Amino acid sequence: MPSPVPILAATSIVKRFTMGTQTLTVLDDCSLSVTPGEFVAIEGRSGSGKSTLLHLLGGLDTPDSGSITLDGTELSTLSDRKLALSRNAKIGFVFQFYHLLPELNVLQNTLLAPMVGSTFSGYLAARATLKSRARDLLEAVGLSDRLTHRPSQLSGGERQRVAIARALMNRPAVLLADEPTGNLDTETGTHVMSVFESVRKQFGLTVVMVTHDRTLARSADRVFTMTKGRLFPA
Amino acid sequence: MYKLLLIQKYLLKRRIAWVSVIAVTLCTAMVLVVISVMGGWLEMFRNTARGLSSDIIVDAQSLTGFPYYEKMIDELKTKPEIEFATPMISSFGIISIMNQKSLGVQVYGLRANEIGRVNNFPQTLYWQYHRFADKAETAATTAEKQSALAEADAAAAKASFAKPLKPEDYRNSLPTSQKRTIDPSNWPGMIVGAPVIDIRKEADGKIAGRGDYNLRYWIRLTVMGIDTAGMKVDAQNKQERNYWVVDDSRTQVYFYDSTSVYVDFDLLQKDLAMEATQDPPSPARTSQLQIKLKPGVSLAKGKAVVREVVDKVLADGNAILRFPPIVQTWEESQKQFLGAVEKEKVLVTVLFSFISVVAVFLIFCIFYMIVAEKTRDIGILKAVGATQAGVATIFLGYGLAIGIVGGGLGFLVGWQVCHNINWIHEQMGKLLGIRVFTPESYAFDTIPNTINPREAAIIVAVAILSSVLGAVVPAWSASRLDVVKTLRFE
Repeated sequence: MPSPVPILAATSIVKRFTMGTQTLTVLDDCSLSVTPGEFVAIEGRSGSGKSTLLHLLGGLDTPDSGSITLDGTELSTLSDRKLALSRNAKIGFVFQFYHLLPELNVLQNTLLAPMVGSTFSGYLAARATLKSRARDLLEAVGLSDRLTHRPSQLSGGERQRVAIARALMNRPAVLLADEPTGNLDTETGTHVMSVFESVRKQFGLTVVMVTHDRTLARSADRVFTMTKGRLFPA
Repeated sequence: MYKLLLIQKYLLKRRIAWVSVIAVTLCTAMVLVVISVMGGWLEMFRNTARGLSSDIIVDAQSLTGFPYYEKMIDELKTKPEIEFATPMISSFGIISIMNQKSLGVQVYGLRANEIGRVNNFPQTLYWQYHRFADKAETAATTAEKQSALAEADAAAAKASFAKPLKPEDYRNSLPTSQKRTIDPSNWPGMIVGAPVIDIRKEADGKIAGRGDYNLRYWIRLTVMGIDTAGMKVDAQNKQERNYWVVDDSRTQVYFYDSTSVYVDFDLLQKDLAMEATQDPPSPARTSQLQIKLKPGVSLAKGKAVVREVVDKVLADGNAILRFPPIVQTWEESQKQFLGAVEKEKVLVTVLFSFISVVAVFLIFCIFYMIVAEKTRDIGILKAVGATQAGVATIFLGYGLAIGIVGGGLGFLVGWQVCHNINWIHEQMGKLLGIRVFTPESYAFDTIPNTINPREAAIIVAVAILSSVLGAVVPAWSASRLDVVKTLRFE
């Protein structure tokens, strides 16, 4: 039986940062292949290069060498504009620090991705459907009663659940989660992860999550360890 | 859609944006008020100059005047382009007001029953026009208003130097010592510029110094006839004549009014030795002809017709003048005067525009601060797929929104200030004793308050454009921010 075609693949990724006269190799020949519906966890210490790898996989940054393919498209071949559109359509991000827009309420933050990806008229035409989907997602993460609240009026756990709903809004091919519970206490983090797991299973998501918490990584289909810029199967 | 939403949110929720809006508002209002006042000032000068000048003026440009003016008038009246023509003398004199105040003045000799047919001089008079017209402003009904204006027009149509009081009133107006030797009731009438007899506008906007008692003022006018042969002043040609003040004129141009007196043409012509003489034979002279054109006749056409008549009449009379009278349109006659105001308007506009550039820099600085403050938001937007152009559009749109709101508010503030500028000025005078717009400095005693819609539209458009320009560089910088760095931005 042939192995399934990867939805996301990184091949021999190298990333270096130059600080003054010193060059630091953050990722050194990292390769990773993620198939549709798979949950991959990457664990490692702080500063090991996990977040950098996640940024590269999401097209937020470019590797110095190596290639990244998303849904069959080599990201380095895309223009800035096409890369942005691809990010909007195919990738959902959940960040450690939630990264919600403070001026927008919960519903508007959730709708941000389709708003960014649509034309003015296109959004207006699909507004009712999109709002309905946003409400469904917020209900799925347990925030249906907080639609008009602003991020400043929410707890950390609630903010992260809004971020999860926002990431799912455009039905992404891959969800990239960067320490999703890293800024939460244990109890809240556990609750957020249970929500995360629930929606992942409900929507059959492909997930790549980086974390320094080994217990979180255990629920993944495959676990990798990042050490000094190199990726090893755990 | 997200751009509009964020522009709206940033505009309403970021207080720093309000500072930009206030800056644009104040700059727009300031430039609008300044340009409107300067433009209105120029317009007032033009209107006043237009009202006091006939369409075409034949000017001797000499105190001795030019001859054959009666023939010129007769000839002009035959021309289909000409409505009316009347002579006017312009000279210099010294007045003594009741032996208590003396002034050097510009003396105008005019035919009171004719001058209203070529310009609006009668409409500047108080006792023969404004006394009635002012009632229209306080009239309760339209009918009363129309009646007051009709009464004013009728009085102006009969404008004259006639004395309004009885002979005995004039006799009783002089000290007993003077009454024994002279009969003052025979003295002719004189119209004076209102400030000449100290009629003035107070800081609170009210006219002071005017009353029935003005009509008991007498003035001695001394003029000097100039010998046409030698063009020299001869003390023997000095003429003194006493007049009764019969009216006061307010053209609203202070330096006209404060130095002008008006007397009957024939009397002044005689006193200046410009009348016809037999020995040696010399035709009567005047210093100006004021000519009104028929409706629809262009100034250029009218000027050409008048020039032709003047040249023909002078040639027919064998009057070979080294300096013949010039023929000018009213605009040409006021060119230097209006040109100075026009240049001043341009200068002030340029200066205030420079000040407005400050607003652009202010927006520039504020936008840089906003971009710095919103660095993480920019990263979030890019992470969810916003393009560089999309991010730049947010900040350009933000600048546009600030420009539209600031420019719109600036227009409203400027319009309100212009509309109420005289009231504001009066209140400043009453409460603070500050009187900026003095007639001595600005010629008029009311501040112009008309807004030119075209200029207002340009000012608001420039304000909006400036706001967008101020946002261009910060918007470009925002669009170029590295997304990973912005997400890690603390």
